[in-house]
Amino acid sequence: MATSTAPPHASSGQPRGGPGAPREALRDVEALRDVVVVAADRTPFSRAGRAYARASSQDLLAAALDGLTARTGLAGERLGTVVAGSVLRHSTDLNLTREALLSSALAPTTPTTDLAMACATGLEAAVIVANAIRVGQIDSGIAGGADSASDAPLVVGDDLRRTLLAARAARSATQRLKALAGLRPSAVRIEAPRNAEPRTGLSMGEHAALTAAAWGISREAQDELAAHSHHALAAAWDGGFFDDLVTTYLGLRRDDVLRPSTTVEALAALKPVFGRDLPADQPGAASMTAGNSTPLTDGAAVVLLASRAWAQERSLPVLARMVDAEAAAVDFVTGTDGLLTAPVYAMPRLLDRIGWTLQDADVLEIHEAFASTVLATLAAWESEEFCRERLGRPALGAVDRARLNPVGSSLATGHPFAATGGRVLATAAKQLHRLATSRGADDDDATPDRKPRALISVCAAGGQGVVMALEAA
Amino acid sequence: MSADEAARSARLAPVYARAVLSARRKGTAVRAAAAAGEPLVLPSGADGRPAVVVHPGVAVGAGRAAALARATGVPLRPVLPVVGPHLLAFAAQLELLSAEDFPLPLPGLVHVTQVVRASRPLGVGERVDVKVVARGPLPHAKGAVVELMSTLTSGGDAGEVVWEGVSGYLARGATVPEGQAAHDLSLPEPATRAAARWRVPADAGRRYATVSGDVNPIHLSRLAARAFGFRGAIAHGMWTLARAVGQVEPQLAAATAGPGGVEVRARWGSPLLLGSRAVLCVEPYDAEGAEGGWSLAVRSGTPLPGERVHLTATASPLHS
Repeated sequence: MATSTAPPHASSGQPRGGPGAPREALRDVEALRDVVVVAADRTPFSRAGRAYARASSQDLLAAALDGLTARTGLAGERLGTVVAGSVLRHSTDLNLTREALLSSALAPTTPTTDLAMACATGLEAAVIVANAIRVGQIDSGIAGGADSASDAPLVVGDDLRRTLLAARAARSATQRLKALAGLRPSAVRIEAPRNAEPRTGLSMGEHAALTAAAWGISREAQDELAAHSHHALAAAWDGGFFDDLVTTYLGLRRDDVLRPSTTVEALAALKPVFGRDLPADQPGAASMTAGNSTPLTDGAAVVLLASRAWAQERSLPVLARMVDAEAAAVDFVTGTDGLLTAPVYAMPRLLDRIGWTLQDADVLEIHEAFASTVLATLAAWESEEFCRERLGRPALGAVDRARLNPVGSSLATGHPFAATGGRVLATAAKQLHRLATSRGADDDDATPDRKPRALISVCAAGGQGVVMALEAA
Repeated sequence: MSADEAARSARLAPVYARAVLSARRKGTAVRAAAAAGEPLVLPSGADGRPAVVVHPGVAVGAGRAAALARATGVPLRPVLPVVGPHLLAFAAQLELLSAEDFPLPLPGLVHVTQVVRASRPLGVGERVDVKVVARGPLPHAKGAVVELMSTLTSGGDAGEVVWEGVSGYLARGATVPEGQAAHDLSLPEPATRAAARWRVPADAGRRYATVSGDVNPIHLSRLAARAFGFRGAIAHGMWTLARAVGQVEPQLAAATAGPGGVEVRARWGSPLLLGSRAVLCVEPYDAEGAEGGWSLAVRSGTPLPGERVHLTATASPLHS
């Protein structure tokens, strides 16, 4: 294996050689195994309140697991682990992934872990599964996530909640009445989860608008990116790209956020929804619309990861090899960095560790939380000044835009928060597989010295982000 | 209640109302026939063959599938649970049972047995043609049983049979022509290994009635149920069966991955009261040549003398 860092399990986990084995041995990259992306499945993504209005996150996750199980013939099989999560979470979903697994055709003896890292949940789940495979704790595992904005939890106000708990704990009818009598009518209210940062009170869109203004990202550039996302995704669907990545759910066959016929002109007609209170003369102010922001979406996505030997034993194809990953977080609370800019920091750390450049990526998948987020990220990597002052290194440079989100991204698919990581990972792996296959078929173009490479970047609420490097298997 | 559910209830309610109106006349006729020792005869079509009801091109849509999943505590999957297509069969059954020339009164008919053979799962929203034929009446210890054979076909007349059901409905006290084999269903002894504790929701009858259109008042109202001799409102048999089979459905899906289907056989016993508690018992069960099946029983408590069995069932992979 060419590159890797010691995964967390290596220093704190269970050495394979028994209690006496030296821990340092596991730090040796030669002792680590390749992790490959074997297969993936997701539901089509659907705008909140539409096709999946009656489905829960658990239903969606189970559907994706069943789709993957059917696709890979793994019904009844015990896997090493399933790590998944959701962002919008019911208090009754304390074992979401386990419950979804028990609804699926996978063996009920497969252990599961619930995970939460906001919009990076799905990708971080893949990192955790991959690391366990890499050190030999497990041979196979599924990573993913599901979210339903339609079935979002409602919470009673804190005063009402405390009163009801006190009434429940009461030992007599009198005590119960007394507890309930303390309730003021104003306390009876229901709170829906807000898409706002607790420490700033700003919604994600308002945060992204600040970043767009700071980098002077124009409305036109955002609308162009959005139009490209829709057109590229529509072409990918038409070309059968998703035939082995998506399973129809509740009658929906394709992502219903997708608008194949949208145009830059149509997008330009939309009214700004974020950043309207920024100074109007500032470039990028009031440039973010419903068209260049992702809508609330329902869906689930899962990815099957394994060691090469495990995949080989089952004659399963291998789409790509996971090379390495890096997480980062930024101080957005003081405004030092933008909320969704953590990948700006994560990517150079990853690239430097594995010895790649940004331009090595044949496929660059940057999650389109907002069009402006993608453009601000690219602008930061291109800026000599920013990279010197903030990253302490030369600029990462510009990327060939043809390699950016070549089959569309979240603006067109929608963004069911925890499901996005799985979608992006599967999309990148499949593209690498296709690139490797087409290069192999056409000898003139073959570059045997280097396999096709992909980089993934996913930003998340809370000022976090995860990036990942993949290579054709 | 969603719009399509409301519309469906609105369609089935008049059918049920007509059945109730004709119940007195039919009941008197059945009792008179029994007193006179005359056997019960099912109506025939013009060509002498059994009467048939056909509902072409019907489907269980996403809203109804979701309501079924919520009512019976199973996940909402892209395919219906194995007993789910009974929703489509039931609408046709109701039409047949409530027809003017069908001799038995609908209120008072008790669903005593059910067999389901699903050759593959039926997709949510997938259109099928439903055909229901009546067979019998057959002798039963407590009266006569009419068997309604439901066939769900995909892809037209020569299409694939996706799902078959045989529902046994008991008319207490009715008599049957001599010389017929009794209505019977071979099942193992009720399972005894407790797997789950049920609290039967007080509104389970109302919710399942909304999903299925089975608005028989014995499931909706305590008073109505008492009028029919029950201690209180009782759960729909199909609700009990759907929830019990739901417990092992992922295991069945794992066992039948590939071409195999599923067979469910069920016999209801003592009525399950709404608001009561029950225990679901689950044991592995291998039918002839079919490994990976399950024996299910819904009991009023742990297996002790005096304890009642509400449901005995098996759910097995079907190997063609």
